[in-house]
Amino acid sequence: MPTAPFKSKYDVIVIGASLAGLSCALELKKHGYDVLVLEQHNLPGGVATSFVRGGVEIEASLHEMIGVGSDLHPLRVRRYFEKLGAKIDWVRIPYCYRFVSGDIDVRIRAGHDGDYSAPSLDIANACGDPDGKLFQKLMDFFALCHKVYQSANSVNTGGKINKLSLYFKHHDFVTVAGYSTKEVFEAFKFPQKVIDILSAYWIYMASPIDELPFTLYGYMIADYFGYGPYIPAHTSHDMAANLEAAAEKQGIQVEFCQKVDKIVVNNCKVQGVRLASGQEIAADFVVSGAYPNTVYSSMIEPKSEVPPIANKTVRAMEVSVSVFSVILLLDASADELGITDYATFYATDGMDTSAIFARGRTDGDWDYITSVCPNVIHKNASPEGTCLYSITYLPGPDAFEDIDLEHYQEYKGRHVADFLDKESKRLGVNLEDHILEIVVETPLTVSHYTGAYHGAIYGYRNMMNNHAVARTLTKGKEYFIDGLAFAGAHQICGDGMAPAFDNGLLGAQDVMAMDAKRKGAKR
Amino acid sequence: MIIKNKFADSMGAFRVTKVRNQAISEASDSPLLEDEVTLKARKLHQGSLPTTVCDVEEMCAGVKRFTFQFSFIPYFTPGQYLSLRLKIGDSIVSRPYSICSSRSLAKEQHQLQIIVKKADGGFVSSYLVDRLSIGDHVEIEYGLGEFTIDRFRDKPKILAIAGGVGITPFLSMAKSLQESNPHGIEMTILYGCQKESEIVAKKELDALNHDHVRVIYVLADEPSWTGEHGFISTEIIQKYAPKEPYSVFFCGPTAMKYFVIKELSKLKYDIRKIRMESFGGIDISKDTRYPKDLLDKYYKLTIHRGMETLTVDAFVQEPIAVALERAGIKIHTRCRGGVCGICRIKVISGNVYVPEENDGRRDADKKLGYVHCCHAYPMSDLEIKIPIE
Ligand SMILES: Cc1cc2nc3c(=O)[nH]c(=O)nc-3n(C[C@H](O)[C@H](O)[C@H](O)COP(=O)(O)OP(=O)(O)OC[C@H]3O[C@@H](n4cnc5c(N)ncnc54)[C@H](O)[C@@H]3O)c2cc1C
Ligand code: FES
Repeated sequence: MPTAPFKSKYDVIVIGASLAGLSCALELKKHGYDVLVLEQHNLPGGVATSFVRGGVEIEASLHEMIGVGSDLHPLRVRRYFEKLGAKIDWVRIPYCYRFVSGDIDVRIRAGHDGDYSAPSLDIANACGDPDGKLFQKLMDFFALCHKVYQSANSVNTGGKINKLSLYFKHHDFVTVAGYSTKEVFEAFKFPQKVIDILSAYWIYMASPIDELPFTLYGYMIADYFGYGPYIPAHTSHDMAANLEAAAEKQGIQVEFCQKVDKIVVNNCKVQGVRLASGQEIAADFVVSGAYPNTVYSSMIEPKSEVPPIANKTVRAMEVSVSVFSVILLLDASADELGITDYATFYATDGMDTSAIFARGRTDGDWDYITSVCPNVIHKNASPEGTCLYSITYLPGPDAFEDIDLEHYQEYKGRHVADFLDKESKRLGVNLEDHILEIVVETPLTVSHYTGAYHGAIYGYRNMMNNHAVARTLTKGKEYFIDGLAFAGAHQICGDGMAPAFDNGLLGAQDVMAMDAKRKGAKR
Repeated sequence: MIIKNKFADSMGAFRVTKVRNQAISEASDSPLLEDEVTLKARKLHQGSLPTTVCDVEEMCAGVKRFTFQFSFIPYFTPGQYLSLRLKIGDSIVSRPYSICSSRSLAKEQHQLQIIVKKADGGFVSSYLVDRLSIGDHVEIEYGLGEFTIDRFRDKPKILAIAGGVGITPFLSMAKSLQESNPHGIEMTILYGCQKESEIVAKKELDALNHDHVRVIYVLADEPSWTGEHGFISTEIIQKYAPKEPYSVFFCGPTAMKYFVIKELSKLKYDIRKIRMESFGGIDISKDTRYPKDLLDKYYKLTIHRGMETLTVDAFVQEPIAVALERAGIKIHTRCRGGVCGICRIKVISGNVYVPEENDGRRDADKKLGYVHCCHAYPMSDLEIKIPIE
């Protein structure tokens, strides 16, 4: 009988039992690798998690998800869990969002199974469309988004691509690859109001529309508007716990409360990891959920094994946003409080996304807030006579750089007061009179629970000079240390809980590519 | 579809690859730095750390105050607790204790204090009160729990109801308010004890008794007492509660908690709004939902810890966490009341009883067989998986 908790060696060690980490481990196990998953926290999921306050389970991070789709037209995340044999209770969000900015106040329905007429109609009606031309233009726009979506999905799951196959098989995908979201909006000659409404989702990509690659924006839009946003009824922890249970069932060793301190490297090749407890565990491959910034700045042992090109590549990318979220359990139902929408984007000072984004990198004011009330679509989200309400902005990584811990509470308090005030005025109820529980999440909270660099939740910022297409085309060149791969929002597919599964898959593919290369070299 | 012109449109993938490569070639290759946010988060939440007992003071019979010395500022919010871990004999145990000291003591002296009352048959409290002395080392995790005043949720008028040693979190709040009170909080403390001699820290409380803090002692069993007598009933609450809307905080024994809830509901106080911290454990032999015929049984626990397998015996009236601690198997606990979730483990097979009250598990965990082992009792032989420590 073994008397040590770990084997002396594993094929692969995955750092982090996040959605990406666990799906990476499952993929590798499927291909015959012996996998150990090490998680510092006592729960799976990373940011995909929930907490219990006042006896109520409360979502910690997820607003809405792409990649789910209806029962009849299941998309990849729904299919993924069906295949695992895990039952997730998905709830469809009928409206993509309510968008409030200046004199605009509209609700946009989500389409069904790839049909974009409902959202097109809602946007056209909101902006005035006497001859039906705007409606048609919006349908064309969504059709383009859908093309991008289909191409990206086949590129993602197909593995190998090259420039030629891209050009012939995925013409529209190639056409828009070099353009920002703003440039495509302009090509369609949309009126400003339409652009403002269509831009509302920019925050879930956290880059202003003139810097945000259309490929990514179009991809997300195609899914949300065409298939509808979804959430798991029992919070994102339901996904995490099901992955954990599935991993263990498949014979993957998943260990919690195990902080990996160092990734041991010798001669440009990964040897294994060292835990905070001092224990060393050998492995042929390490897949890191920790950000490359963290890995190269403080985990690679010895430091001299960090190749300069790794530093250059990481420095060329910008770490994306973190989160500031005020999560409330209120003492009355959504109906009683007059809360009618699941998700509302509220631009309090116009829709210049560059200006909003720039202010988000300072300590305020933050003027693009997202509020979510799950009870609107899911009556049992909290006990009868109560409802949950969250108010969120995604500040840039610099916003919390300079605060000192002495004034941390004050700093938090100032933003909480601002959020409560803005939302109370918009809703016409004084939220402060109704609070049963209040939880405030900041970049420090994220960093504390997940160890994420800068408390980042979205990986690297999507920009024209850090484009997912470029990263895909050059990815083989970015295995800087033999045996070291990554799985997390810092992978190519970026932020979001559905992309997390793709990021896990990419991490697994990277391991297998390196493995094939090693085997080839041996032969 | 044409965005700009055919040529420019077809060259997009090439362009974005080129600008990315260019960005990389222009970037510095100097070593990357650790980030400020993570370093700050680490300072705020230090985890479990060794500390030294630097002072022990007898407060009254069977009650002592302990001061722990840290080597940095232990940031906490008044009302929070710390979890103390020690080895007693073969057992490795931990217990929660509310921090009773002020913010400034943490900031200026790097110290935290707790007051411990020796419980009847108390395993850890007896050890602490009888044995723990200056110079001893204990491991402490601090800044835990949500029993704190929140300026957005709570009214500026606070009605604090304490029973016995349950005064500790309020002592910290009151002292800290005296040091700094930017939001103008006023706190009325109704402090219930049996006898005058059991009032913990009476001198300090009397000294705090002005301006923002008011303390009213309510003694159940002290005929010569000139102040309030009896329990903290509706009448007492009505007499002393602020006239303006107020928020209620309760800390004390479990039995008193139920009594106070009953009294407050008579006053039409929305009991969902009471903040509660109760010190007592639960006794499942008094739980009507637990099968009586099992009460004197022992079951076998088969424990998977990483690749290792261990077995221990578990008494049904004790939570799984205690069975592990008795056997000297480390298990991380904090609240020991089912709520915080740090002691989550997986039940692979067997039946477990989880008391409904304070079952702080997430929905998916209930469905998939995870339990908080401080709040789960064996009802058959069990196979469980616990974290490696
Ligand atoms: C948030 C919070 C704050 C608190 N703050 C305070 C405070 O400020 N002051 C205060 O005095 N108390 C406080 N308490 C209560 C405190 O945590 C303890 O419950 C109390 O001191 C009694 O602990 P005990 O070990 O003495 O007694 P018990 O926990 O009742 O001791 C008996 C327990 O120990 C187990 N046990 C017996 N023998 C062994 C063995 N050999 N190995 C392992 N386990 C064994 C028994 O099975 C039983 O479960 C607080 C509690 C909470 C939840
Ligand atoms: S220690 Fe908090 S739930 Fe068990």
